[in-house]
Amino acid sequence: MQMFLSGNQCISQGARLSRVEVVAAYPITPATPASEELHEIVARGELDADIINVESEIGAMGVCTGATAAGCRSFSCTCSQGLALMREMLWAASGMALPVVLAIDSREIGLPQGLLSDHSDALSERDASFLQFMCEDGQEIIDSIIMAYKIGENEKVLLPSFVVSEGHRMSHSFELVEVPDREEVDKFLPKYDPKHVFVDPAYPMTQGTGVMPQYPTFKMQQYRAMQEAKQVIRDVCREFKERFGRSYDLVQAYRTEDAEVIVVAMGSVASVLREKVDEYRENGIKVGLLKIRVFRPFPENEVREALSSAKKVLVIDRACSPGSKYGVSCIEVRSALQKAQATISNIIISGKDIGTQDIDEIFDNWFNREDDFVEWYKAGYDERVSKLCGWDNYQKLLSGQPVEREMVKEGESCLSKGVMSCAGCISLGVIRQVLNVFGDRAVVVNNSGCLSAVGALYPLTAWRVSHFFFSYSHAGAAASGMEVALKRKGIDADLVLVAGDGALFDIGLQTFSAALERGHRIVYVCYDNQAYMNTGVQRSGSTPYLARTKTTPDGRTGHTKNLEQIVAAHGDVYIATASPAYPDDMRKKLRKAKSLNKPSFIHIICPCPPGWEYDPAVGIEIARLAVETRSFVLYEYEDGNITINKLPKKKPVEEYLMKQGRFSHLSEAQIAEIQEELDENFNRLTAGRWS
Amino acid sequence: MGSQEYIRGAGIHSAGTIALVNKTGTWKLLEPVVDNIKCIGCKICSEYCPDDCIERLAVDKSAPPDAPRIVIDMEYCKGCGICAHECPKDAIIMVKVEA
Repeated sequence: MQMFLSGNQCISQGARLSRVEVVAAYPITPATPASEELHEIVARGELDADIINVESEIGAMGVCTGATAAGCRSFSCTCSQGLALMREMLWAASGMALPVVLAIDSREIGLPQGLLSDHSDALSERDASFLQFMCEDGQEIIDSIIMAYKIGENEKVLLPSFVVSEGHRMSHSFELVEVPDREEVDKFLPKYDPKHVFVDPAYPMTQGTGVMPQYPTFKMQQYRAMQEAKQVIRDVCREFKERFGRSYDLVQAYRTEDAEVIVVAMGSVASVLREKVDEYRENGIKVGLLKIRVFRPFPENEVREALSSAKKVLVIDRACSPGSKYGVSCIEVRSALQKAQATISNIIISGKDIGTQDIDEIFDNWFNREDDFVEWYKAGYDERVSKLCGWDNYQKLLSGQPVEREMVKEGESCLSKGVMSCAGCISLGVIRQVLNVFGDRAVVVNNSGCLSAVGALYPLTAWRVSHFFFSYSHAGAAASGMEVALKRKGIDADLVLVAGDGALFDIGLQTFSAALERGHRIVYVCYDNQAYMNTGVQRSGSTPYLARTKTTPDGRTGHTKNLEQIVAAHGDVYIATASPAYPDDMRKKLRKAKSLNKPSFIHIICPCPPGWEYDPAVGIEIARLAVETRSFVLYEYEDGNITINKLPKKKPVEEYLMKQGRFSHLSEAQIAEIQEELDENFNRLTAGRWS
Repeated sequence: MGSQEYIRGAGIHSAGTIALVNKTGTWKLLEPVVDNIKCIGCKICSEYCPDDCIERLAVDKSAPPDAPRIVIDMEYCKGCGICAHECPKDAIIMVKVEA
């Protein structure tokens, strides 16, 4: 059936057609919509799969590894930092010979955080023993996912795969694609039926042991499986063509037979190049295109054969390997062409969007030169950008001159105007209030989240105090390092770690916990909007019971993590909850945290207009109702005692819930159930305990 | 290529520059209009404004009743309406921005 689908929808269709049984994905831009769509597909009954809302990519890859070991076909999608965080489990999956398939919407690995489509995330895992299929368009994504399972599950291969597309350019653009018939796919791709690993009490086995002298043998097996995979890929592609009519191979050579000059590329740029090859051919230039479709295993023979006639070769790379002169795929091409006479040039484009005009520029340069050059395409400097990023200040520092910086004065906001948050963003107002308490002494460490995305975009920043972004999982550790270093250097500062609920409840909990346990003097502020809002509203550990998010379309099941109780288990920590509707109370608690010589945790409820589905004007009212209905109780915890310190007259929880679209599906019985739970929670807090 | 480059590590050695470019006031569909007679200058609106757009003016007691007690920075106000909703005197109304 022909459908108009985005790259991410092609990913979810590929997974659906492959009848994946276990899906685990963690929100990350731009891959999130693929897993959101899988939630909808499962909710509509079009796929019988368990979807696990994991706390991080470590969790996602861990779930897939465990589920595949136990005999279920498993799937995840991610990119960038997410793939980097999975790294250890990637090697575990390939080491255990588990054919998991990961769809990767390639995106730069930070820092700084890129949002284009550099291939470094996937290609830097080239040694992880994953098959890597580099897709050019949405059709190839669907077909490659289906084939990846068949190839990876083959007894000769038994390796996991990446199906790589490009972030935003492909993930968010729509194309007309042929969605294969499910019955046909069922005939093509039988059920996963492994014989090398069983998780079954009826068949006890041990796996994952230490090996001593045999390690090189197991590595050699992986190496050989990759080599074997080439023939399996050819065979599977042939069978795919017979059944579905579309032709794939390890490489795709286009008009290379008599070509004098051949351009080599992977991914979406091949489409533009193919058009250009036709155009240049019409003008009498004998140019050809070699698209490398499979990066791992690397098809040396096919590349050598296709490029044999060429006098000049140009490799276009979306990833570089700093320390090597060449881009990542150029290294491989050069290795395959050792004895060839051709000059092999290399253009590195990283994540840049490449159009037909860019190809003209690249080709003009290439055609007019005889040397084998390596160049970055349009990666220069813009003086306006340099000026805005403070180049002049830096030059003064280098030459030993004093730099006068304009500091935040009493009463001024530590964040400038012009922040790119949504209208009525309560989190932004809260962070302003928080920072006003600390003023120019603040050193802010910020996990990934809404705030890190809206407050600065190079070379612009809203921050007027020190602000350092660290990705989700490790901000607690980075803040610890800063705290220790500032003390050593005798710098008087207040370290404030600002994080959303996703960062502290879920993915960053490990380093947060360790920092608390060590007792660093850090004020941890959680601006809790109760879901992953930056990536478009996915369930977090803080999402309330029955709330609807994109990954809990029928309402969240299970209960919210009690982070205060976890924090309290670390010993001497000051804990307080706050609501922006009561700014005096919030400031009082922050001032206290500032005055203490120990860790503090301030948990602030932050209504979110798009995520909680309400008119932005009523955000403060909702924050007030949260307290009035005792959905969010304001209290402090110190020296083992819970003290409720703001207790307005009680209102029924319905008043709070009915203001928010995310609860609009609740039945009266469900509202009564929530009320009962809130009452119990409040009684426990009144009695000075959490459980 | 200019004589100026970017600082290694992508650090920004300047502050608050986002306001030079992001005039978020252009986003708004509704804009706040203040009734100076009703406004008592209580500061609640400026306390709750997430975008730091409301400044309370120092107004003498002898000032005329219609003297403005607050000023809203329309260049950056996103028109969320929190100020109007929270005003205890209903002194701010939100009106449609003329296209």
